[in-house]
This record gives sequence, structure tokens and C-alpha cells, in this order.
Amino acid sequence: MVLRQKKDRRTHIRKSPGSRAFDICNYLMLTLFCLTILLPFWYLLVLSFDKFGNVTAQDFFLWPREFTLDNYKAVVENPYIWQGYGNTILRTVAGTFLSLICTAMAAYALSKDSFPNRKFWSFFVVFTMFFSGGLIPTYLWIRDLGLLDNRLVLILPGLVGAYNLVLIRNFFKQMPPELEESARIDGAGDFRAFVSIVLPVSKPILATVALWLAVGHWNAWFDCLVYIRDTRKYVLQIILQRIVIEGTIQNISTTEQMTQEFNARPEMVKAACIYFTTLPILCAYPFLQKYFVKGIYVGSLKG
Amino acid sequence: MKNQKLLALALVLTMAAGIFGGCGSGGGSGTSGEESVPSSQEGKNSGEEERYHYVIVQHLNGTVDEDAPMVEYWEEQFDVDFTIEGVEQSKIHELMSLRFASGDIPDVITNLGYATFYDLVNQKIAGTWTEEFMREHAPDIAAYLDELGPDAWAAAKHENGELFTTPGINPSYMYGNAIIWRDSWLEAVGEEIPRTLADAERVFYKFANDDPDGNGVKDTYALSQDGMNQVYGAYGVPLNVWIKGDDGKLVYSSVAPAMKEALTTLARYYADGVLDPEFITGQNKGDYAHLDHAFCQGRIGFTNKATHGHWFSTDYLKSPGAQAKVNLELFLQNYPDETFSYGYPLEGPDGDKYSGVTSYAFWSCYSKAMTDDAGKFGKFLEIFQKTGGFTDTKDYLTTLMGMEGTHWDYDENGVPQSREDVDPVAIGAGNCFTFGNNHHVEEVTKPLVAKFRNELYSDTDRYAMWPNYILAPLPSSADYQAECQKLIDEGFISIITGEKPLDYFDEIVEQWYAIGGQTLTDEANA
Repeated sequence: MVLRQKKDRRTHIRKSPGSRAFDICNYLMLTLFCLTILLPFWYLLVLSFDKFGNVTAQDFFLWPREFTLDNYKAVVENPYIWQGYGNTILRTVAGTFLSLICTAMAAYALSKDSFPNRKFWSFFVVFTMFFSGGLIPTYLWIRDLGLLDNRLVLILPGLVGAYNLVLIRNFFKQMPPELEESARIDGAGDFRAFVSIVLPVSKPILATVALWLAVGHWNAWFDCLVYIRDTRKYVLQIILQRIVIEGTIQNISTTEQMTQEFNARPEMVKAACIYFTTLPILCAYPFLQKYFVKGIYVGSLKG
Repeated sequence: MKNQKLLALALVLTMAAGIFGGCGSGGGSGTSGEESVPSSQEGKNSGEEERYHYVIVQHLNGTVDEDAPMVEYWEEQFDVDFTIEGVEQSKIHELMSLRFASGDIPDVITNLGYATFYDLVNQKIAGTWTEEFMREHAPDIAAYLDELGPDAWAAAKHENGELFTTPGINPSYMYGNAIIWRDSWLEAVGEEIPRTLADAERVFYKFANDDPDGNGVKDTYALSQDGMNQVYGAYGVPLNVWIKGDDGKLVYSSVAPAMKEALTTLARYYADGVLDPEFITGQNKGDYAHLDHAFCQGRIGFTNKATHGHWFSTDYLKSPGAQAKVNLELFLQNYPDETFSYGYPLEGPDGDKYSGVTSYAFWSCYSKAMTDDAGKFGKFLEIFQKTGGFTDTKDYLTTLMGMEGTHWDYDENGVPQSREDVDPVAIGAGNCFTFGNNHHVEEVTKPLVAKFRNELYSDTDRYAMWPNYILAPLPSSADYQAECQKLIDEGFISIITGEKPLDYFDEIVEQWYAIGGQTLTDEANA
């Protein structure tokens, strides 16, 4: 053992200049690579604390030229942001909760070999992963259901996702059947066995899927843009997009300016706005990231 | 077994909601579009007197309730019903296409632009009406179009000879881009504001060589990307527009023979350090698109970027209530004691000069269902005429800001100001009832700006507007325009920077015609 350690140390010391140079290069490149990712975030953060003024693409500074909280004040005072926050939180919480319940129930049924026509139904589910109806038919269908401009439209159409369903089903399938049998001997029915036995032992996969769903709901905006007309029901991401592109060339239409003042928001307020709206998810990400990877292992696709 | 059936039922119910969301119901789509009741017919069933209901889609930064005060006000005025819906401007084309495809067509369609309006008529989504109908039901709008001239009437007409939209003038774009000179630099080099390209060239060279900012370093240029427009214009070839050639036929300016002379001049400017080498990336370096950083931060002394509304002068600041905005604000941040002056379109060797192309603004078009219903559409034109301020410009204040004394008041300078707690869109003002442009209303909505504009351009030498021969995109422009334009953009840069010789221009012209330019030219002359 001692000998081996010695040997290890020796090999470490005897690293050739070439390989050391390689290591240095490696670290350097990777550090640079990290910086290219971090710097924009940092610059945006700095901008968001910088005092009002003009900023150009050529300006670059690592520290606010003049520190201020005014930008955040401007953001906090914007009623649309709070409205958007409310809508986003509502859809995230309700959407995740309902989705999880429905997906787990469907997955439970599909995990049972005794389920009639199981193959057909499984195919039916998986089919939707490869083909979708397209935007216009979906729009027509949503309209005919009377869901336009209804907050439910943000939750119901995507209630059960095929991928999540298959993941949870596979997890259920791996569960030893004895677990459930014990409950059934005690007289539990399907529902009781599902709620009291299956769900509690499935927490890892449920947590993972819940996380995906929540992130998906937080970031979603297109469905809201298409189906919601009342701006009071807009989710945060649309409000954010609106603020950020204001005053850029695509957004300036020649007719419009007759009635509008030239009032683009300063870049600093936009930066503050971006931070304010992405902060919750930005904070949660590093802590939850491991579940993203783990989730795929626990429910990995098998038959 | 019973359990299994229950389980199956539960599954089917659970999945029904979710799965079809992804999968859609293609089968039903064909019919549901036809089933939808065109909104024009809704009004017909109610009572003996027809009470029309108009669905209007506008770009709004908020939501307008059915009982918003100004919606109710106009409903009462005209004895009709309105539904005002907002649409997100950044995705307006996608969202509106979706509505059209699903048969959900509003009566008033706005903000999609001339080309799309034209297409909508071809697709029988939007409708047309005759000039006589317009003169009968909206004589004041017709009078406004008469004032703009026969070109305006021609622009409003579809190929069937009937009107399909209403052109108007946006006062901000009436005279083209402002031509701006920095006063301290002119003074430093001992020059007056030049009127011809020949005189301007002398000033340009002094700007580049005589250290007009007096810092002892050769770091100044005369002009950059937007200033180049004046050089093109002086040679009678404003960049990238269709112009009348010597034979009376339309030719694309960028491949017209005179363009070679313009490029010769610009290449010389570049080689002599007169033209800012950063012209390729433009004068705006981020932030609000009409900001001119190159000029306002002291790199160049002459510019032709953005309209007068972005270049309020220091003189304008002297009028009570005026504020420094956009470029003036940025300029004063850098040079608090300096001023800039408005110049004149530079006159070229053959007497050509240019400040912009006449551009009409087209705000709205109307569903075929509505234009086919003479009663409903006639009523709409009456409404349009009133709310647009065509009869009396003061009406437009009500449209834009609401009721005087309730929603807005005149300030001490006679400028109407919204009350602090009033959100114009929420009360049904703002753009809600604007269906077309009318430049006269600026005199009541922004009297200071209108006064500034009128005084500035009372000197008719300050502008030289060119006619716009091609309003709608040519039939093949989707196929060829992008590639043809790329050839010109890249080719011109390489000629100006000296990377390619001047004779490369002949090659560009030849290639341009070969890769689709000929088709475009034929179509333009058709």
C-alpha cells in the first residue's frame, strides 16, 4: 500500500513538461469557456445595478459605473410584472399538481399486465410523442372547447405528457408486486393500493417529473400568447419579452409612432427586469439539477 | 375483471384530456372554420333597428373591457357595439394567421402592413369597396386623400380598382430623415452648412483632417453609414429603391449606372479616411434603434440617421414644456454646451437630391364579411372619419386620450396631458379607435412637436422626397430579393473598402440581373 502511494506520488512528480503544458492549456481553455458563459450573466447583473444612462454595444464594464437600485425599483413598481408573476405561479403550482396526479394515475393503469388492451393503449400514448396535430387544428379544437382566454388552457392541453407517463410507468413496473399484494390481502382496492402503497414508494420519480413539469410551466409562454387574449392573464414570460424588445427595430412600426412617444426603456431596466423574472428559477436550478439526470436513470425506458 | 374495466375507464378518461392536446382533432377542423358565425351577422338578428357589432383587433399594451368608459362613449355616439381585442405586436403575423386559418376573422384588421393587407384581399379574407362609397360615407377621409394626391388614391387601390385600405401620412416620416451637422465642427473648420455635394466634400475632408474637436488626435471622420445616403442621393441613386431610368422604365437604384459614380466617391472617402471605417456596423451601437451613437459621441460630424422627431434641436428646448429626447439627450450628455443644425439634402453634379421616399402608412383593412355588408361598412366609415379626427382634429384627442377634465387636461403650455392615474388603453382610448393615419392631428395631440416640424420644414429646401413606385412586394421578391440584396450589400462594402476594384460593380450588376434581378425588374415594369 505504502509502496503504491509512493509510486503514485512519483508518477505525479514525474509528469513530463508536455503533459503539464497540456494540463495548463486544458485548464485555461476550460476557464475561458466558463467565462464565456458566466460573463454575459455578470454583465447583465452589473447593468441592472448601473445608473440610468445610455449604454452601447461597445461599452463594457465589470462593475456598475454608478450603483443604484432604481432599476429594480422601476421593475417592482410595474404592475404588469406582479400580475405576470401571479399568473405564472398559479399555472406552475396548479399545472404541476394536476399533471402529476393524472400522469401517475394513467401510468399506474398502464403498468398492470392485466390491463385490457395494454399494448394498444401504450402505443396510443407513445404515438403522440412522434406526431402532433399541428397548431391550427389544435387551435380550432381549443376554440371549440371554449377554452380560449380561459386560464385552464394553460394546463389542460398538456396535462398528460407521453414521455413522463412512460417514465413513471416504467418505475411502477420495476416495483416488486409483493408490495401491493400485501395491501390487497388487507382488503385494499386499486385506488387504495395506488395511494397508500405505490405513490409513497415512488417519490423519487414523482419528484423528478414534478420538477420537469414545474420548469416547463415556468418557462412556457407560447400557449399563453396564442390562446389568451386578456393581458391580465398573461404569464410572466410574455411581459418580460414585451419589455425587453421594446424600442428595438423590429418593434417600431411606422403607423404606430403617430400616437406613441419615443419611450424605449433603458437597457438597465431591461436587465433588472430579466433578473427579477428569472431569479426564482435561476436560484432553484443548481440545487435541482441532479434530479434532472437522476430522473432519467430511475425511469429509464425499458420496453 | 370488474376492477380491470374500471381501471380501463379511468385511464381512458384521464388520457382523453391530455393526449388529444398533443394530437389534435384534425377531422373536425375543416368544418369548424365554416361553422363560425362571421361577426357581421350577429347584429342583424337583434331587434328591428340594426345595431351593428364591430370586432376590432389592435396592437395594445393592455386589455380593454366591454364596459370601458370610452368604449361605452363611442357605442352611445354611434349606437353600435364594439369588442376591442389586443394582439401582441412582436408575433402579430403568426397570431393573426392562426385566427384567419381558423375562420376567426375580426371586422377590423390592423398593423399587418400593406403587403399582408393586399394578400388578405387576394385570399378573400379582407374586402374592397369603391371610391364612390368612400366619398359618400366618409367625405372627410376622401378629402384628406385628395389632399395627399392621386398617388394616395392609387396606393389604396387593389388590382380590381377598388379600395382596400386607407393610406395616411405619419408626420414623423413626412420629410425623410433629418440631415444634421455639428455646429462646433463647422465653426472649427470655418465653414457654413453646405448645400451641394461639392461643397460638402470640402467640409468632409476638413472634418477628417483638420481636427475639428481640437483634441490634437486624428480621431474624427466626416460621415458613416447613414450619411452615405446623401452621397447616393446626390448622384440620383438613393440606395435600394426603384427609380425611373432615363428611358422612363423602373430600374433598381443600386444597379443603375450612376451608382458606379457614387461608389467611386465613397471608395475615395474611405481611402482618404473621411468615411468612418465602422460604417459597416452602423451608427447605432445598441439600445434604442434610432439613437445615433457615432454622431452623439463625437466620431462623425454629419449624419442622416432618423427623422426630425429624433433630433429635436436645442432651439426646440427653449419652448416651454419641451424635453430633450433621444439623440438630443445623448448629444447633450456628451457635449452640454454644444448644438447641431439642420442641413439640406446635398445636391449632386446633375442637380439630384434626396431626403427620403414618400411613405404612406396603412393602418387597417377590413373583413370581406364587413365590406360586403354596405350598411355595416358605411357605418364603420362614418365612425372611422369621426374618431380619426378627419372631420375635426380635436375629435382625435377624445380618441387618443379620453374625455377632457376626466382623463386628461391641458397643461400650462397648452399641451394635453393624461392624468396620472389614467391608463389610456384601459379606458378604451390610446390606439383603440384609430384606424388610419392623419398627420393633421399632431397639431392637437403634440402641438410643440407639430410647431417645431412646421417651422423646420417651412423651408422647402430642407427636404426632397422621392415617389414610391413599388408599394407592395413584387410577386417574385420572396424568391429573389434576399439573395439579390445580399449580393449588393456585400459587393458594395468590398468596393467601398477597396477590397475589390471599382469595375467589380459591373460584375455585380450582371450577376444581379442573372440571379433574379431581371425577373424583379420585369415585374416592377409590368
